[in-house]
Amino acid sequence: MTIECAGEKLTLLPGRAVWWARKETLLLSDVHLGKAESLQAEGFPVPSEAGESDLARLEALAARTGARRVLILGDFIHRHNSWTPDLLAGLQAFFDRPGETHWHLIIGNHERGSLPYLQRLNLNLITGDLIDSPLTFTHGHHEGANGGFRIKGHVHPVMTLRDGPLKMRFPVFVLGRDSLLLPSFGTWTGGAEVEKTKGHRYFAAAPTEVFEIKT
Amino acid sequence: MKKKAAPDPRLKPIDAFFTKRGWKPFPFQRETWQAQLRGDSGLLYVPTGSGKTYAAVMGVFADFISKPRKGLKALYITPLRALARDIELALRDPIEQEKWPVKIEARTGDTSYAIKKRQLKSPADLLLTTPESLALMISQPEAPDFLSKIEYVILDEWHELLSSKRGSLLELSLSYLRTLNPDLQTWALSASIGNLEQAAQAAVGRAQKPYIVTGGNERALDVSCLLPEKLDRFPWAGHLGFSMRHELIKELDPEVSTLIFTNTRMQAERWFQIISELKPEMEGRIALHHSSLSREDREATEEGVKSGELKWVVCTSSLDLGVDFQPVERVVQIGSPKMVARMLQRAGRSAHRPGGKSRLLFVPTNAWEILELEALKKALGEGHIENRQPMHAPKDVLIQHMTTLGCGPGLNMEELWAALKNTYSFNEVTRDELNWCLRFLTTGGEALQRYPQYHKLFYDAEQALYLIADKFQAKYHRMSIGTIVKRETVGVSFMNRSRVGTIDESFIAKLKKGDVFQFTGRKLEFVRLRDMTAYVKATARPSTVIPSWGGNKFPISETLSTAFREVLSQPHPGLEGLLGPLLGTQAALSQVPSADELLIETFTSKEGEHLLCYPFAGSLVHEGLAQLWGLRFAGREPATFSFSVNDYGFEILAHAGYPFKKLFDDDFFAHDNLQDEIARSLHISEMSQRQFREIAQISGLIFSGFPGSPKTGRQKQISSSLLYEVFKKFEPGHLLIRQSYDEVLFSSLEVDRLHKTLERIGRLAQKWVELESPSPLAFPLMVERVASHLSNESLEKKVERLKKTFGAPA
Repeated sequence: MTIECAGEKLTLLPGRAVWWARKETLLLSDVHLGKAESLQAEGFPVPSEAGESDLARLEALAARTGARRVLILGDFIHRHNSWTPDLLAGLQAFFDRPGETHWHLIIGNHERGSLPYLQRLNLNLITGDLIDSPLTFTHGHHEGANGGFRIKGHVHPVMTLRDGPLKMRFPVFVLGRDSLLLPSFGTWTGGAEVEKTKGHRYFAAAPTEVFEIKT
Repeated sequence: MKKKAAPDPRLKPIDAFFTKRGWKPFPFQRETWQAQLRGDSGLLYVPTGSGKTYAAVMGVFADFISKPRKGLKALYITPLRALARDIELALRDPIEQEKWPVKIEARTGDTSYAIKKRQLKSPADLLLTTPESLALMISQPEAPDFLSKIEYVILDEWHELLSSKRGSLLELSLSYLRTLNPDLQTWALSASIGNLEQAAQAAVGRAQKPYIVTGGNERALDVSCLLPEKLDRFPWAGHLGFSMRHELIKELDPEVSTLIFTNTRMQAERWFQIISELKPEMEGRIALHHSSLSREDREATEEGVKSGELKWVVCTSSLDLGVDFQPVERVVQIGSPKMVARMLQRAGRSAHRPGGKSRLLFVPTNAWEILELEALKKALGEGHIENRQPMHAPKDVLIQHMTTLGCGPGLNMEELWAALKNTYSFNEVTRDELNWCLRFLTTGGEALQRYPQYHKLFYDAEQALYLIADKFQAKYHRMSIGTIVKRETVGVSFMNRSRVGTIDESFIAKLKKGDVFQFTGRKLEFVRLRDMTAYVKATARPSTVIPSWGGNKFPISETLSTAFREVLSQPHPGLEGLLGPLLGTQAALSQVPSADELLIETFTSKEGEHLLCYPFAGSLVHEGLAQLWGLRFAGREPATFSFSVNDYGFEILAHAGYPFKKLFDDDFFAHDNLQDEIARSLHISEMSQRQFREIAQISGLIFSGFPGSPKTGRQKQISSSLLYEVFKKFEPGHLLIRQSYDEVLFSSLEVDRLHKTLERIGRLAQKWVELESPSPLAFPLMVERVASHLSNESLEKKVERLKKTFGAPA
């Protein structure tokens, strides 16, 4: 599903990411890696796999699109207490692999305590917004002063569709007049049900396709 | 009387006391005393309020008076703290008057630390306590000394405890007392129960043969039904019953002390509000009582009833038990009590004295409930009353008990094994299972080995005992003893911090600042939520919001539903005018099934295809049956279903055009692989995950927090569901996971009853009716949708269907 934002063609991917073909850029937000580790640190014995498979998914997506640039719009890491030695080592290896892809992370509200660790990764950190005209990339936890068409995350938007007894919840992309809101990339991140607003368009990320929801 | 024995000389002081009061002991009282003095254990089955307390204790007192000796020698265990307090007062009376050398005291959660400490040093002869306080006593290092001289245990209201985990916990605690003293005599007191022998055996353990005493005159019971004035307007559905408010007000007498029972707290709040508005002059003489109110408020209300100051009390099951309300003359029951035993119990709250006549006024909340009362009367007339089954050796309770032993006297595995073999319910535990429980407590089991907080017990080779790991674990354990799982509630307080009660977290979460809600009969404005307390202030602004509390609605009992099926198609003399519109419409639009017919209705609406079936077997069985049939339909043609159930039947809803009738065949009544089939429905894993929350808490996997601590129910839910996933993944044979499945199967879905129901309805003549519009039986199912889901459509197929409905043209 390809849409147009400020004259740029963006492809919405079922894997809950966006492909900006002209700039060979993959866009995604809210991975929340280390959520399991954070809970473990608080004494809850939870399995760590969700994070590992999210990372694998990210790697596969970057490889499949052949992205030269991957731009993560914040909340890549869940919390400061997510950083187990295993997670740190795993991420260091992940970003150190040889390849043509450049990785960028806009610091999100969840990453406040994570900077010392993030700085040890081969990953370009961005504080504030990133402007790549005509688009502005931002985490979205506060409305910045930067104009332009804003691509953002933070909210984890989902929408529940019902048909008789059938009920399903989909992560959604929300297209406004001057912004595009991305669903969360991570699988174990919960979601906020969005209300339909006049003039907005909604795209559901189903497992194998993205389809637009009638408004 | 079973045996005619010469009166025991030790009973002389007791007889003297009775004579002085101008009383004569009832035969059942004397029979119990004699049996106690002979050394027997047993069960005393007499109606509530007929003098069973004296029957239970006077034999024991006679023994103590004839041969005074030191130490704690008897326990009187009640399900309620308030009851312990009341009975203490009632028994003090004769002891003080007669100057008997007997000392009795209460020891419950209300007893102060200083008094508890003193009780250890200079124990009373008899302690009044609760199952939880007993477990707590066992968890003390002094337990063996303190408890080893106990000769008698009296279990009050045993029918209330028997079929719950509180009963299981009590069985285990008693098994420890029997380890200390194999000759322990146990006497259970019970009313309103069908399976006497079993209840008695569970109370006394397998090593003794229980002696059963019955008697006391069946209390005269006068049950009447409040009938609506306008018959044709009486609703087919609904459970609040407000259309009856004017009729009820006319019936209530401001001078007659009346308990007005409702089935839910929400209903109690609403009825309290309505009665107060219709009868403003009753202010100060009417009160509300339910378990979410603060203890102070509840106690004040109880005192008010006893003193006669309060005349009308709107209440829930919170007043089912205990507390002697002499002044109460009349009981009103709003909505069907769903069990014969519950009706008897509640009716017995009026005229609570030997020889009194109980009066119960039944207020139906919908037309069908008039028939339920007919069924109640029929069952009662035929002497049918519900059985109470003990739980099947719940491992979470066993694990809690093992931890308790680890905190107190130390856990000796051989002793425990022998003790379990003598219990009624834990007799079936295998050595492998017991060893698993021990590994779970010492190592955390396979899944939790890495987390030291789950290594609760360690082996002390010197003493050859398993002991608690450290004093913090012991402290946490003692704070979590018991099997009553706290709901996800938050406290409600006024701004000056005076406490109002507790309320569901999910309800508070929906409130915004300034919202006004009705609670404890008052209008309260929500100010803020802080530290798990909702702060409110009183307001005069109108409210429409009434909190609802979670908690399962109890289904109609097997005894009552059997009677209901029989009365449904029988003539109803005197009620024709009233039931005519209901049953007439049912017959006109569909059919009124007789006891040997199975009615199945189909109906097409905008929502899709509806299948409605009426086995009249209770909502839990219908839940299971709906799931099962859904699975069987889906096996023949894939679909997504939603279900709705009530006590009469169930509804399966599918998408438009689904051919229910064409797919149906006799295999739908098959019951050979029932458990497997139900286990395959997706829903059960959800249910068992929810059930696991309780199990995790009881077994000590989750600490429910310090009183008033900030850990919320929601967080607890998260961590118990995470534990559930971890166990399922890394330790497939986990006994606690299996238990949560079993509890869902046997308690939540009543699979035994489901089995019987399938067998029964398979023999009935099927009556298929295609409805033009919903019948009176279908109507409640369609308006009170309690939906659950089942689907075997592939993900792609589902997305495809949703896309068709919601997708914008590309």
